[in-house]
Amino acid sequence: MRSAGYKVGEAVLRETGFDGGEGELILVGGASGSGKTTLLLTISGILSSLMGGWVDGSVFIGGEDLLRGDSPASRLVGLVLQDPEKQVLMPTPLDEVLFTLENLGFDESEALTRATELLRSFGLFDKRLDHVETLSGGEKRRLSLASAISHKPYLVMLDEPTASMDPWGIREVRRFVTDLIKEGKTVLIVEHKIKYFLDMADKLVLLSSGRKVSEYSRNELASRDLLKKLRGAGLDVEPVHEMPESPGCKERRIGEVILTVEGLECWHERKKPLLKDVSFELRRGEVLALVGPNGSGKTTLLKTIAGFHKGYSGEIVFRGGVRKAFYVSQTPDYMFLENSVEGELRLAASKTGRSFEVVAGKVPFYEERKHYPPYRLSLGQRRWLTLVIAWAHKPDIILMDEPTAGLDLSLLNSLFEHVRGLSEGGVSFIISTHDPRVLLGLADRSLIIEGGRVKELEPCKAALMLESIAGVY
Amino acid sequence: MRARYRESTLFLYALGASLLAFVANSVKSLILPSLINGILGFASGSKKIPQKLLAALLVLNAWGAFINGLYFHNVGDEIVSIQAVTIRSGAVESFLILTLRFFLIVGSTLLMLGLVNVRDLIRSLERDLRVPSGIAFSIAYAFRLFPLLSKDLSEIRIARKERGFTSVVLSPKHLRSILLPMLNISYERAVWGGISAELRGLRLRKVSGRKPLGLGDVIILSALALQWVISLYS
Repeated sequence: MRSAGYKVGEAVLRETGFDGGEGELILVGGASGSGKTTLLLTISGILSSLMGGWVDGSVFIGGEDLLRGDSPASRLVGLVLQDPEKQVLMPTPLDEVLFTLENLGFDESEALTRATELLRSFGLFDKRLDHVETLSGGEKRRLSLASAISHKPYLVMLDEPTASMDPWGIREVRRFVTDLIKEGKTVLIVEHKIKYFLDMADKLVLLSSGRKVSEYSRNELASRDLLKKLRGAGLDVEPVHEMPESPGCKERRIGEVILTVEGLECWHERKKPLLKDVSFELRRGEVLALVGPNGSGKTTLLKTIAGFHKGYSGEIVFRGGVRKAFYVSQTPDYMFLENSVEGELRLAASKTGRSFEVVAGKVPFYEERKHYPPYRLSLGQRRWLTLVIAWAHKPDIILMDEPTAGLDLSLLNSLFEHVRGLSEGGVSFIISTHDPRVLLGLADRSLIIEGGRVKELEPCKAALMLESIAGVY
Repeated sequence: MRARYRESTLFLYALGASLLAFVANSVKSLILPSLINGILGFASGSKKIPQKLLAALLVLNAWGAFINGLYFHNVGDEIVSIQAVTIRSGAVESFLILTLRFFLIVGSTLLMLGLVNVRDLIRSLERDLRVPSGIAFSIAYAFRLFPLLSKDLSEIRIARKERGFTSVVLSPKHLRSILLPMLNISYERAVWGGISAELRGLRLRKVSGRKPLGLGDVIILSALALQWVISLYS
């Protein structure tokens, strides 16, 4: 790939080339903005065919150039997008798998047989006719995996598959990749949390600013020194048990109790409580992590504390003059009500009585991006902006739902720094997460949700538990 | 015996009923088709579309229709006076016409949604009406988005409340604070939806053969024609 880009004359990818054989896993690593997703869009032909971009280069599969000729990439390539919500197009799982097969001209009865078998092997057969919105996050992920390989492609590509996934899901994806390799498929994964696939990778290609900066073979990846070097380059390479001790595991000074939750039971349907007998306290300036698989009730608990979920019994008592907690959604875009970063900050200032200059001063990218629509900021910048908006409202407690999903190491460290700064100023946090990095680098305490009940576990131990479930420890 | 019909005939029915909503311009000509489609549509389609979303749409439409009537059509005899606001017959008539149109359009669409499977609808549009696959897919994909819109609406309501807005939509600025995030989120979702469809070979899609017209098609199209006749001659 000599060069490729979205606009004429503006190359996003430069001098990037590699190859992979049957049954090989190629891992492509790089920080946010390094060109990983653009690479996938280029290889799949989407950049030039759908997005109006351009490519100077070639993508060969079995001697056939996917970017030229009559054989479009969709026949030979399967791509799993980062967010299953955006990949799933049809209303039921059966329709979703059949959609690809019908498009590619499979015979109706063959397509039905293949789709049914596939859904059975992914544990979705019983739900094949249910609406996709009734599926859990993990089931949607499995559906996106199934539909990406329904036409038996030669090359399967996965775009940051661990981005918003719990360790149970990560384990499932690892198993999926292992099976594909056994079947002789070529697998390409772009990911900044490369630790989850390093043990399986035949090759690691590193991208930086849209350029391939290095390539390492399986043997080279076994070297500890190399892993240290990669971590220095901003990649998440080391499992928790190999990481140096971080501030989150040490004692910090925290204040008085400001929230007491006692005997809480939460439900969406009264007869099926999601959470039972939940009791805990939160102190001023404390960072409490709430850990559990997708669908375990973390978001429901946060929304209940914030006063937005009404299906509950038990006590939620704010103390020490605290009146309520501020809820920050997992999807930052829900929080944006204006068309520019400046508009957002002015709205926050006007609604809270804070000085606009003070609020804008909390956003390091303000001058550079003030006229940008918030939706066009990077994910890390959007998360930063939501946190500043939350802070502007002067809350004593901020409830954050999966704030690190999709953040690379550098953005993660910036977010941690921001949260630590606020907690030292007396703001308390309850953070719903299944990211071991939050437990290790930020949390003072952690609560694990298991079977609808919570129990306390030391953050470092909880992080190890998550890594062990994911299969990297 | 079950009357056989093409899925695209139901699409034509919904399209025809929606056109009728724009052509008919009096309460008298709208009331019968609106009630029929509204009742049947909400009864059959509410299983597939979240009821909360329908309720929200209904409230937003009623509020918009009321404000529109009050600002632009508040003429004629005085009906009721509440403090400084006098509501006249023109405002009530305008409110009723807009509400009945909403019932007719949404009701007929829900009726179609309640009776067809989206994948079959795409195939039928392509096969029977020769609609290009990109357009047929866009129509079908819109139906997949309804539950997501409902979820978006609920999350936006939370964010608005956190940011100091009232739950009740009182002004165009308030309405903007709901529509802006909703449109932006839907736009991004649509871009990735397009990428996903392209990756999965939508461009290569070919559907051959036609399903013959059945008794069901005749009944559906006759029902539509009958509603047009009743509406135009009442």
